[in-house]
Amino acid sequence: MILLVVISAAAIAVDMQTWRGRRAEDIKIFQRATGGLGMGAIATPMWQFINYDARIFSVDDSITWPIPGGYSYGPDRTGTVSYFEEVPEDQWNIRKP
Amino acid sequence: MEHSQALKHRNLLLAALADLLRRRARSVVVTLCLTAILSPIVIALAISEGLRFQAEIAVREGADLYISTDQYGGNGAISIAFLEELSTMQGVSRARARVVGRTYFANRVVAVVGVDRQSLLVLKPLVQGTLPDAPGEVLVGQGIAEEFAVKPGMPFTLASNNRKVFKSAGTVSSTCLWGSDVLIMQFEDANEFFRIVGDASQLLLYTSPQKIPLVKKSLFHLTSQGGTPLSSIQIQDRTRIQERLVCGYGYMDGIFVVLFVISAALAVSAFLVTSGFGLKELDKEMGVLKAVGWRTWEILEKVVLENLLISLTAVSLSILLSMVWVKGLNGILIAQFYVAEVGLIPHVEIPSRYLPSHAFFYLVLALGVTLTGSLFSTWKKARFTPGELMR
Repeated sequence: MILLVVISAAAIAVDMQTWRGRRAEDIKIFQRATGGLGMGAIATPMWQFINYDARIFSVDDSITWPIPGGYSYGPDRTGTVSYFEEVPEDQWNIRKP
Repeated sequence: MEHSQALKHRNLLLAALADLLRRRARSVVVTLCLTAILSPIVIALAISEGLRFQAEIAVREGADLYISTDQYGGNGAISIAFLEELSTMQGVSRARARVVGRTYFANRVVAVVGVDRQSLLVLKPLVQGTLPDAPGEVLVGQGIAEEFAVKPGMPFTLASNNRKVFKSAGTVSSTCLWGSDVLIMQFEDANEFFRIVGDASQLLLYTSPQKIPLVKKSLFHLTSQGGTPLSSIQIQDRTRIQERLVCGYGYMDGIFVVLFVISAALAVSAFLVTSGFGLKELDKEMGVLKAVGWRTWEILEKVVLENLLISLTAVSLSILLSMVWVKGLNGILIAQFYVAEVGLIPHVEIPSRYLPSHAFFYLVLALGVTLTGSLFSTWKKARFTPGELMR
């Protein structure tokens, strides 16, 4: 049991170190070059852009299609580890009178 | 006094350990049950944390402001003619244009990213091959390159616009989830592919954190002037994006934790059975302990320590199992529940990150489940006299 606890603690420490080092640097290079690409738990802009990267298309067009006003049928709404809701405040050109 | 107290706790711990070893089968079953319940939440939070880490870098290293037009209520293309006007705005240190779209590469949806030459140069450390130089040269994401065997120098066309001939200049290493299924090319090539001239998906503005309010004010001034081309624009700023990121991942983490609590609540009855609740043998043992002078709190402490040992083992096993499954086997069969559209055998690397705070959280959850199943019942029994317990 002690061995298990020690191994898992060591594994967590190694994992944390891996993320801090070269790996983070490589991600930074990629993101600097592309201007920031990707936010959500989906590898491609499938179904809608909002869950791939809400900066590219902040509007969730999947809720208006195929059933207007209905449930979003995008598979990234079914149980992935991220969910980005449409935020109307992002539209600066809409102001209260 | 303190020394004798410490000795007493140590002896209780040893007694708990001895009890677990004596009832080995029961201990193994309870530990495995707990591991089975914990593993999905461990995997979910590890993948969530890995993606969140990557996404945070994506936001931090991205631009401070993203500008596009408002087109029928959505984000529309913006003319690159505004780039000069925006780059000279007070507080803006850099302005650039980019194209981001999507297309099919054979049967795979891929992101198409068009950036300026200066940005392409930044990618050099990640490129196997050469950087795009001539028109039509592109960098292919590692996921696509591996699946479709795209080698540097290989020409190809895409169904969306088969007149545009691309040539793979190199492969860009898959550093994050979104760097796998991607085609990176020069801005002009992306526009030619999408048959758009003079526009960009977004204009990216860079500024310092202190100057963001100033730039926002200037942009707000531009948007408030009705009738001008810049009066109908959509602006995304880093602060809002960060807020959205925190909510986006926090919301789903919360759902996974709620699902765990529900499954744990359902499992409590199973733990009552597996932990020996109602077993006459355990009642007699407790009676003997009380007969030889154990107090109620000492019996309770022994039960807590037993559960702590079981929980520690189960949490360690869950973390190691999760690491083997997600890191070693790249989340085969299970990753699709947490990352959309990756399939049974993921073609992209599934990120996962393990934190000590998460391990502590799992321990608290495991203790909560096991103690709910045993502490109350033990307390109820421990109040009886030895004679009643041994009868």
